[in-house]
Amino acid sequence: MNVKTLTRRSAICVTRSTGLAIVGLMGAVLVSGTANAAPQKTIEFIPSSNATPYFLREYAGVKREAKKYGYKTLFQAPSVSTHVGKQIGMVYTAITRKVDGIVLVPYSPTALLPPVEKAMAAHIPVIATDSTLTPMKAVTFTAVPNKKAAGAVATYAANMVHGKGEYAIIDYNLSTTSGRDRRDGFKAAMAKFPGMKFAGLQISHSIPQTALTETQALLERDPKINVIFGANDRSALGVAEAVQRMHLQNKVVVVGFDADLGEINYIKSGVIKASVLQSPVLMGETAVKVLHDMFKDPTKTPPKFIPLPYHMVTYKNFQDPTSIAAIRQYIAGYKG
Amino acid sequence: MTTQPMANPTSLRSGLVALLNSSLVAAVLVVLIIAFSLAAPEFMSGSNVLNLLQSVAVIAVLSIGQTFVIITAGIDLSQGAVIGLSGVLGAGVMGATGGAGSIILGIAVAVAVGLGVGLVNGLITAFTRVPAFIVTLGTLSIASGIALLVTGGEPIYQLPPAFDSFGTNALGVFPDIIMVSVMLAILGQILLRRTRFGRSVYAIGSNPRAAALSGLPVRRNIVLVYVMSGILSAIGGILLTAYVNSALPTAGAGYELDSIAAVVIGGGSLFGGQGTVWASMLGVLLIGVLGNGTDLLGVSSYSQTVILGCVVIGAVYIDSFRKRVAI
Amino acid sequence: MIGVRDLSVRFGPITALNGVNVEIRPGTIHALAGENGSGKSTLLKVLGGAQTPSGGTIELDGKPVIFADTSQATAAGVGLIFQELSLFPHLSGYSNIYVGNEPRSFGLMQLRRLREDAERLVRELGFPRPDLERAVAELTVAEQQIVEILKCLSRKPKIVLFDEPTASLTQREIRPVLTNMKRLRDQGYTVVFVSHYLEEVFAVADRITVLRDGSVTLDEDMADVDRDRILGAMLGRRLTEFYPARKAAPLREIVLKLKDADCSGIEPLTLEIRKGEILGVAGTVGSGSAAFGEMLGGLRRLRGGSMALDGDRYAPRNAADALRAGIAYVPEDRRTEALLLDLSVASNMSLPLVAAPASSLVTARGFLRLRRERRLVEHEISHMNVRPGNPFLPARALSGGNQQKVVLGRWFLYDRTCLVLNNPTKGVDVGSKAEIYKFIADLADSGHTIILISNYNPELLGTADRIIAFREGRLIASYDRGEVTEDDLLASTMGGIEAMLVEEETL
Repeated sequence: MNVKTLTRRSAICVTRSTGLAIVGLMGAVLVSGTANAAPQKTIEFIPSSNATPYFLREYAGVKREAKKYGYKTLFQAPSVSTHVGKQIGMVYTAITRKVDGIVLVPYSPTALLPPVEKAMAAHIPVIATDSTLTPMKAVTFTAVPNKKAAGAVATYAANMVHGKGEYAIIDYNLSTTSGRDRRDGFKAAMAKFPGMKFAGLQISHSIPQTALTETQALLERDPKINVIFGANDRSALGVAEAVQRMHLQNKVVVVGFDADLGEINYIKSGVIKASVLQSPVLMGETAVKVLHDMFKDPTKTPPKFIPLPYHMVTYKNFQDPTSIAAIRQYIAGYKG
Repeated sequence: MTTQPMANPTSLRSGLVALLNSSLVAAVLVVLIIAFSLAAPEFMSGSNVLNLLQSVAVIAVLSIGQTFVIITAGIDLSQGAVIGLSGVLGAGVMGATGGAGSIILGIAVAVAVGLGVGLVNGLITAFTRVPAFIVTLGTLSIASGIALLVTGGEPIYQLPPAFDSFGTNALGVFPDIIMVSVMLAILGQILLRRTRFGRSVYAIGSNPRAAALSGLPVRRNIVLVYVMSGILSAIGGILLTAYVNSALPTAGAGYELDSIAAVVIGGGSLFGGQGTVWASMLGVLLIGVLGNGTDLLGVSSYSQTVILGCVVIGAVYIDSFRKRVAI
Repeated sequence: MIGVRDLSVRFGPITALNGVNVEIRPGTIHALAGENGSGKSTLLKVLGGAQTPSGGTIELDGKPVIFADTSQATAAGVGLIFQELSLFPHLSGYSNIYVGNEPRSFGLMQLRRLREDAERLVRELGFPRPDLERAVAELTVAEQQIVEILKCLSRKPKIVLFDEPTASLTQREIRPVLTNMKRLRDQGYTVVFVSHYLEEVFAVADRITVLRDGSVTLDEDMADVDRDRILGAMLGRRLTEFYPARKAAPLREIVLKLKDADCSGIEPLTLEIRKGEILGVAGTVGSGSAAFGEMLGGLRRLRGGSMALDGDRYAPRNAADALRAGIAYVPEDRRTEALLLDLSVASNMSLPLVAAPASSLVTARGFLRLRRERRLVEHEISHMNVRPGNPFLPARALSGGNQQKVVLGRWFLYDRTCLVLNNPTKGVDVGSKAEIYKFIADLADSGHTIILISNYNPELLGTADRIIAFREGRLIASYDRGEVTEDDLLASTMGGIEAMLVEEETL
């Protein structure tokens, strides 16, 4: 190949690739719609997965509160929740981008420590929501007391079957503290009923289809199971679907955590007997409020732990005004 | 008859030059870096470069093994599962033994796991007619299943502090883990282009029957290639565990798709006979830069996956018109 | 009558035809011969409308015509039959013949008319009738060709052009094709065909035009030329002998001894092969000639009996064993079995030497000696006259003949006692063939033993010191040089009755 052809080829290469890159970037800028170097404060929300309805509602709360104070918000999350490495990278990127505050749902209590510490050292406060860090190096941790909440719904379920039978748990993961706490709380409450045996636990990774197939397998293997706990919205959905398909809704008590439209319908039809509802919007708002207080007065130290209320919606009380208000945290504009 | 000396693409230096001159992917990478630096000034900052290199270190190691496998017209889908399994077993041993030797022991156990899975992959692929796709899909399920069984789904947090700091330590902007990846990449490239074994990998991928008729130990070398991929996946598992300072049984799930994408972007053909380690590293960097740059620009992660897909397809499509240098 | 006047065809900087004048007389069989790249196929395509001229004209019955595409040529009475058959595999013979040209009546196809027309054609021409009801994919290649011919003829051409009609056929299938061409001429058609094989040209052609590098070098009636003149016109030099004479005789020493050696595909045989001997192995496909070669090459296990090489017991389990002992096997289908098409010419040539234990190209630790490899390969490329001579081109970029020279070049780089060559000149142009025969003679003269398996008997008769013949798995005959004629050899390999039948067809 002589020099002329080489130069010509390189020129074509560079032109083509520049064109490609420009198109790509234009798309990126258009889509992101972010302007550079805005003088307003920016808060970034980094949950552990970008497609869980609960976190999307939490982000709605973050946005609502941020709007009150004129803050900008950003949303970044790994598309596959098990990619904790990606979440770590996103926190580092947030630091590089010099955001003013981070609201985090840490996928792992220890893996996210180094980036959180770095953020705090760079004067970017981090609020942990839903799951915590060990040790708790963030500014504040706010969540529903998962153990108690899970215990409450366990007690409800046990009472429904008169304290006799077997129970299984479909948990979303055992990496986050929330995942572990719900399992521990459920089992601890069940332990108070000597007639209830533990039949097994499976992980769904917040994928309803996985929860469905695992529930079916559990029920096939052990027909004596009469209580199943889906530890988050995606898991409960899968469990309910499975129980309905197998026509076992009168024999198996399904209880869950959180709610979305699918779960609410299952509650109304009675397939899900009860679900503990958190306050995702309130969780987001609380986190942003703490950040706002810190921005206003950096000397004040916020509380380390802010508990959030929970409400148990059942197939009997879903018409009550308190239930409707709780559901509205999950489904905007829900009226009943 | 020929008097004009031709450029020899197998020498290290002219190989790099040829790569930059004729690889569209390299050109796109350079343009992207320039573009991102202009759009987001923090892109070239020390902490961001560090973040970028840390985020690609594990995939880079996987891609080295995947390059060898893909050149033989095979594929290794079990890499991500090996990361998980070797990570939890290695971390478990480290936590259980404790003391100075525990880290070495843990690493040895992890490597042994990778070797074992690779051996199974290689033996079945080489000696039966089962395609590599199916074999490694099977070992993927088995390995991730064992990882979940052994840990009950729970992560392992007890890791020696020296190991933890290895995962986050850095020399300037170069994290320790990327040094491991770079070293392995250099060794891999030398092995591939400068040794009889490497030459046989290309021959086997191009035409296994002709390779056998020329006296090459085709089956033995196929086994070796999968063993290499398994060991490198285990090393990737070690690096990931150190970086994340915990061992999750599901860690690394899906990483093999990234390593395959990196090899293909770099010019490796799934039909075998083509590809180099350097080129796969370019693919890894392209994926990493794209992700990091769009993160910095605040592009939502939904759009990111779309953009990555478009750029990958576009780069490979346009790259298919480039005249490849034959090995 | 059709012809070209001052015809030129250029593809960018490459000139395929340069001011060519050719006249095809009506009612004759006219052969176009030449090496690869001589322009003969391009000329045929111009006549058939598949290639537009860059300069000059086509003349039909004395008047200049222009064919913009093949359908215009067809309409003018010129039918072109390509080398790659253009049949639809799942349609029946009938449908293929009339595709696009179905007889219609009020817009409906009349299947009965279709059949009658096809039957009539076959009858008129006296071809052996293939089963036209079945899907053509189920027919043999020779039968498919007849369907292709019928398809062409259904459009009522006056001139039929064949582009390398026998290139992919076996020996048995070639004769009927030649007979068909004669039948067409006897029925009044004009036939023009392109061929590599002089035997066919001599068998059927009335007149021959030889092209070299885009120009006509010979244009005569067949009665006025002989083989040497034609070869000379094709290659541009005087060829005293296409098959080179041996400079040294085979030695007395026995290098390979087989005693009741038996493997799948052949019955036990006993044979002694001498050092420096070229042993020709004749036999049709499936006769055992190829199985014999594979047994020697380590690709078929010895079931019984024994083999000895240079006095030592020889029982290879695979090709690598055979190579280590000293025997290399060069397979028949170079594209699927010998060449690494994506890899460079250099890597292809050096592969067995790189793979060899204690190789001069590999250090003790397994590193390649790249500079030495390059030197050796460049030297061998020049020795074998591989064109183009760039060692870094991918092997798929070379023509068949040059690819085969690369494959043979391996065994000059990596010296082995004995080479088993399976049809080494198949699909190779005439010029490369002559070079390959010379290399074979050189190897034998320097003490190597060559076992030359071939389906093409004239090649064996021209080069071998001794010919053994296989039929139905048995070694049935052995002839020294000069002891057997082509017909007798054919009879040996094909069996008495079959040989007679084939001969009858050609009369």
